[in-house]
Amino acid sequence: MHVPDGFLSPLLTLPAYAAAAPLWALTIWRHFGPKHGEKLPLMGALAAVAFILQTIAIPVPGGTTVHLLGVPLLAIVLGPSVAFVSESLVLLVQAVMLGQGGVTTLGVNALCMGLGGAWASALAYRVARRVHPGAAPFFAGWAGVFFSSLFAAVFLLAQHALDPGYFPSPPPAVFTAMLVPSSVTGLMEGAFTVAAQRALIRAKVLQVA
Amino acid sequence: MPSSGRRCYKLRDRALVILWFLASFGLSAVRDIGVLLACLAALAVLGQARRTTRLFLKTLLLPLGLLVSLSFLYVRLIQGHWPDFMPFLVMGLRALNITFLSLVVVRSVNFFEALSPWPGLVRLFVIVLAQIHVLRRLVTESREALTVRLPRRPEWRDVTRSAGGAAAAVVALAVQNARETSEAIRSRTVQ
Repeated sequence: MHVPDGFLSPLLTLPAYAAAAPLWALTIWRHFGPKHGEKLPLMGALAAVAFILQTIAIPVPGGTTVHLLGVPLLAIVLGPSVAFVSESLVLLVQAVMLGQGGVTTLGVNALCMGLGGAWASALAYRVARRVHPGAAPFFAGWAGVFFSSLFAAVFLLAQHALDPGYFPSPPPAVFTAMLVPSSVTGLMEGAFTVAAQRALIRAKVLQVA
Repeated sequence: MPSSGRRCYKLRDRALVILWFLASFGLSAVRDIGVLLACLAALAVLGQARRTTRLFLKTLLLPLGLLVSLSFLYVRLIQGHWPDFMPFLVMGLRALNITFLSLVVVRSVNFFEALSPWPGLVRLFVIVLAQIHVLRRLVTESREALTVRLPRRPEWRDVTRSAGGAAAAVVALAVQNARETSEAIRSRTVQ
């Protein structure tokens, strides 16, 4: 799901940074100030869980990798805005320490996984909770992974449309290689989100099911 | 360290981070294979690649090579004919250059100094890094515990069954550890 450096040109990465930067600034100003100090440990711990989950990445031929996200859990527990910044931090640490994702594609990855994935999870959770509260984290997990992949695929396809010589994988290759494995890892993410949410409730970190 | 010297280091670190960003974007616009090969050679010399060879191979060359090769083969499968290999090679080289540059810069920059104008972010950064370290150890230990407890080699069923419990314990412990780390940082700083 991480789009690596060099796969997208500045024509796409710079506007993605321009779109992400005000959102980062707004969220940091609203949620990461001195008044919210008590939330930081939970944010840090869940961001670290997301980091560990994303380390196990399987390369897929269309252009990126598939892996569990951890973002749906962040979005359910802390809200999609905080999940966006926490995931962006995870992506930054991965880019500078492990070479996973990248600095030029940080904006793109943050928008796909942090913003798109987190909001997809949060919305799926809200809708599914009305129908079946117990299964809501599962749907949130699946939606987070699937939509993150879909958004990343859209960016890669946009690059191919702009300049096929820069990113040579054609649309059928990108779509099948990203969305099919993501549908499967989405099921695993769903199962993890259910287990982790239950663990947090048992540990009295979360108060509401 | 005298305060002027420390300030100088802070400025140097911030300047290096800005230059790294600019250079990365510059490299992401390059399409010439000769330029990319020359940049990679220069980085290998300047970044003392010999010291980072294992990291370079493990985190960059093998996964990126695998990714680009898989893409090439998959496009062959989808299109029914061999595509031009050069764009794939250039794309892989671009990715290698930028990621290698990041690893070289990371070794010589203190990110905490560079992020010092935002103490909240520094605190979160410290907590995340500390938790990553703790979680890695926890995951390794639970894997070892599973191996030790079973008289035979763990099958995928054993691993899956224990994964839920391990994940739950890991999340709960991570939150507890993060609270302690955060309190420790807060008691040592003004923030």
